[in-house]
Amino acid sequence: MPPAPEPPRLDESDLIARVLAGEREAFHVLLQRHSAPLLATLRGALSNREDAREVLQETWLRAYANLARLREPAQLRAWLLSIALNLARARHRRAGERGLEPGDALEPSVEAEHEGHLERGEELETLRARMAELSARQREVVDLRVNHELSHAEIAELLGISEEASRANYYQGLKHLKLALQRPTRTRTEA
Amino acid sequence: MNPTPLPASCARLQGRLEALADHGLPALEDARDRGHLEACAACRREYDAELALLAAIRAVVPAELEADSARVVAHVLARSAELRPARRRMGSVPLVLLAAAAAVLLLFLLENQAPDFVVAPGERRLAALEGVLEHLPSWADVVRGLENLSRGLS
Repeated sequence: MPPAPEPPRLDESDLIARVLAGEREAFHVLLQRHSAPLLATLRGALSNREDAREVLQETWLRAYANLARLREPAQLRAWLLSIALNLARARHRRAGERGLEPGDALEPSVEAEHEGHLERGEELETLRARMAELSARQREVVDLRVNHELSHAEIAELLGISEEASRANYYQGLKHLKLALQRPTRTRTEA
Repeated sequence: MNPTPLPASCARLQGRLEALADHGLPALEDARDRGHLEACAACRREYDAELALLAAIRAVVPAELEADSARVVAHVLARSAELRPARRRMGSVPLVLLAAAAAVLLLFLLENQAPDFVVAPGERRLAALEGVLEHLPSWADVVRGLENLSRGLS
């Protein structure tokens, strides 16, 4: 049987207007559309799985309460990222005060916990470990550019840096990844 | 037959593969480098590797991400049932200004005696309401009233 056709993608500004009018189903659509990409970014920023989940929940609750402040519906993803990254930074600061370094609690993913998995999975796990070696800024910029497809102008505004700095961090981050991938695998938890 | 690219041009291109894949080069340089890629198999391989790296970064998703995301969606949806999103604010008109305008309007109505529509029944009330509407102050009157009020308070 052929797969069921995907439902038409609902317009984001229409969805936001419906959420503001009290339609919870519209909010559900937004949650499903943006949660996984946001969570992936938070996993990169926080490393700790539980922290990332909590920050994403807090991000959504704040966004829901303040949705009327969003003037440009097209900027919803950037707005959500802004809230999420600010909350992640606040959590980093608190962790620093408790004497923890962000990323210290880097967890092996489920893939790494199972031996004998596909070679592709190993490659991706290696890449994930290498990405954790990037500076926090490089990691943020690479993620925002590649996974969220934000322009350097949008990244610059989101992170409070110049467009040139966004480009430089992006290019340096990719160069670092290419070089790092030529080295033998060594995860941070072994360091 | 394809001309053999000069090593210097290969070195230049391979030094900025990230910018090329990011479409971050000026148009002329972008066109020149892409023309080079058509002619140079070695640089083409490097460029394809760059694109493969970007695809791999997109694929670096922890296996548990979907399950975690679904948990967050369920949790937030349940919590949001207890909340309501704030309504859009009334643009740039401050609440205090609206309150002051209402006060001026009230003063105006009182100055012009208690309008019949408040107390009169039936058709008299409708006629009185029309009379009041005719005599409602213009925006300029409201501004003047606010100025007077402000002078009176200061």
